[in-house]
Amino acid sequence: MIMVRKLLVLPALVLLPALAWANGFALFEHGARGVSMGGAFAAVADDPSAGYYNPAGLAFLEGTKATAGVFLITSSSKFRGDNPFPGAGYKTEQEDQVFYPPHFHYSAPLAGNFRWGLSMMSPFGLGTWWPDNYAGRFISKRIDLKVFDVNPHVSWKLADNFAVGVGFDYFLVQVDLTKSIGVINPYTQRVAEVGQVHMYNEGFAGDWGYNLGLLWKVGGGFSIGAAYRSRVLVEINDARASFVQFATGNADFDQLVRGLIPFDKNPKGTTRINFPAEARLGIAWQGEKTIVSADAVHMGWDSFSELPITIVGYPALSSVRPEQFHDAWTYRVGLERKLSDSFAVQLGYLRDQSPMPTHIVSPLLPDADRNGYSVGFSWQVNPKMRVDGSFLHLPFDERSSKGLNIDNYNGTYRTRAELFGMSLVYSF
Amino acid sequence: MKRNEALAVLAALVVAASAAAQVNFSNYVALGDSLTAGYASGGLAKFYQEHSYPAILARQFGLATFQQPLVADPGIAPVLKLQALDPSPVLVPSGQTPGQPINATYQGIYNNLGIPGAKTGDLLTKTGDISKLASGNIDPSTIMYDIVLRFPKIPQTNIDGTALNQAIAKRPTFVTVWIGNNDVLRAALTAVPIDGVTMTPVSVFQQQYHTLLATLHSQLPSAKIVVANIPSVTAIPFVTTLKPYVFTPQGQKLYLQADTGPLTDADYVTLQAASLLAQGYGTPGKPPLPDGGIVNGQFVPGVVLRGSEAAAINARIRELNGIIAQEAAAIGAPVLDINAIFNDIVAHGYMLGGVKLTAAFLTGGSSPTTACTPSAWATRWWRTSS
Repeated sequence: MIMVRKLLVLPALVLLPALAWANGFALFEHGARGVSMGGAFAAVADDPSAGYYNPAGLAFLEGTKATAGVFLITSSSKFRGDNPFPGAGYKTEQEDQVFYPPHFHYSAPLAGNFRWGLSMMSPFGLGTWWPDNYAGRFISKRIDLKVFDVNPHVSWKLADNFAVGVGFDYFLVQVDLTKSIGVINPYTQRVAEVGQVHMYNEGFAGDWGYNLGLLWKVGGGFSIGAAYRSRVLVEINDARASFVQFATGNADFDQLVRGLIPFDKNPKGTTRINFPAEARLGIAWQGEKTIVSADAVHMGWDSFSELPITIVGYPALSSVRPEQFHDAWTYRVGLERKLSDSFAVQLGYLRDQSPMPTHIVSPLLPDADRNGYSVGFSWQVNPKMRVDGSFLHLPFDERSSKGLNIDNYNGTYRTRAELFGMSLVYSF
Repeated sequence: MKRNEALAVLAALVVAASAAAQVNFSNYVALGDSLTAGYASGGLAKFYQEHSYPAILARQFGLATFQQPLVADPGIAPVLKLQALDPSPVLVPSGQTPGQPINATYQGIYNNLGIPGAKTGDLLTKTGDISKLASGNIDPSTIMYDIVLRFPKIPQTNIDGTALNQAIAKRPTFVTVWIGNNDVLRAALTAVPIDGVTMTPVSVFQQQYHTLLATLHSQLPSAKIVVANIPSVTAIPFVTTLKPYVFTPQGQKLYLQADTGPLTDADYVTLQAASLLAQGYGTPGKPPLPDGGIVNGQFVPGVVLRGSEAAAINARIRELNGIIAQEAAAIGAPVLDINAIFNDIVAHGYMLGGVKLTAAFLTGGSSPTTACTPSAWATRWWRTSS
């Protein structure tokens, strides 16, 4: 229990930035070995990271085990404009960012065939950051969405080859949105950048979800895993909107703008995000030295139909941004090969469908279908400690808004990401 | 205003144009009125002309040259500028001396043949003479034709230099035609719809529009022609900015009085009434607002557009747009439905890169129908022409 208490300081890691690189804004990086196998882990689920992939797998673990790790993620996203706006020939790219979502999983015997545990991870996140003066600054300059999932779970081995697991998810959510405010200057008849709005919640908004899993070792080395994580609807009711005015050089106009926008008042802001359900089905075959696995994951993204931004008391400044995501599949395959008793290597491939319709593709999140190619290793340093390392190369397909963007900001986005992960797996 | 409106329009225009597979845009001629010319804020001036929708389209087509009848700042007439917003907008000319044409010696025919104030019939009959300007002969009724059309006869021919004939003589591969706005606009500007006075009669329009498109098509059989229709001129800020009522200092809602009786919520007061309202016109103890009409056999413009008058204007626009659709179909030309686009902007605004453009007076940034845009312009044009 002392270990548990120590490990509970991990929520401090929540303060680290989250990131974008996922199907929609879901993240799958919750254990290096799972990622090394392309994320095909629902039917493998044989280490503490099963707390995310399939809690039923935890029932087959022995003794007390914990995993802690982090991913380092670098990315680049380039934009090429289309006519009429921002125009052919216009180019910009996102600022350099490094994200480091942490993960932690703990699993211990409870009684009989029951085990309990706790997982903490970042199942969703979004971080987009465009240059201050780029053409889309009135849509979004910077977004930082951090989601932390505190997930206690219980697993139960019903038979030697069959187990179930159940968990509860408490989502802690923090949003931080910044964009410029553009108003038509009646004196010049051009758009004037009159200020900036920054909306954020200082603490965390939270709400509950649940997850279920089952793992069936069919025989002949085959196993089947299924897991479901529910929707989580989080209302953020205590955000602040801070408005900063930019002088335009025209005192009359600046005065007019002051009448429209509450620059000195920091009004309250609210928003709401309905995180999607996730259903995962996996199959794996395990030989003496080899594991082969495949997962299909259905993401219930139609939950994310809109993003309401309410500035309390200022309906004219409030908006409901259509998102209209649709459900999407992602497919994962992985391979692990033991080279010795203490060293194994993994390979993986994944294909994600984007849940984002073409007209929603925007600087907030230029999502696209993507491929992922992963490699990794597991090194059993000593009987108590294993080190897993992982590298995932994630090129996105080119995505064009095809002249359909709801803000009439059209062009083509080219995005890629590289992920470096490290997990320590410790047996007590 | 011109620029943003032009973007909205041309996005749709490009779609309409490219609907017909491979179009040769290499030689583009635009026929039209002030909306095509890039006339804005009461004048024809270089900055706005460079942001006319044909100029923007030409840039998108990658054309090396697109000749326009550019006028040096502050324009002809000097464009209006906003001097103060509060308590009510004050618009003043941005200069005392009008600008001069700066591309008048161009040897060929202009690509942009948009003529501010032109009605459909004017493209068939009217000509201009740039030498009048040189000799100091400024004739407000013909100056736009003098600037845009320049040659009474097409050079080296005996053909009248009308807009239609010039367009044909240029041998374009691509033609846009956006005309008809002024065949109804004056009804809104004078707040009096009268056939033959402020509106072109339907049969006349039918015949003129037919002649225009049929001639273009027969003389330029291989050119791609795209036409645009007429927006609702009763949805422009000139008509919609003011209310038919005022509030007393006690907060009581008081419907304004016109010389034809009290106004209701269905009626409009045009921006032309702004100075009268400032003097208290239409309120108890003051003179009523002039509704306009035929008084003692004389046409008198008004400032009150009755709900029924607005309905009559819109019914006329529907008729004319029906003719436009029909004549366009007869020559296989796609129609850009500006009417629907503008209505959508009035209802929902137009998002452009995160900035919402609306049809509001001065601060809206759009008004894709200058017929309409610059209400400032509308006022000015009406003054010039009446």
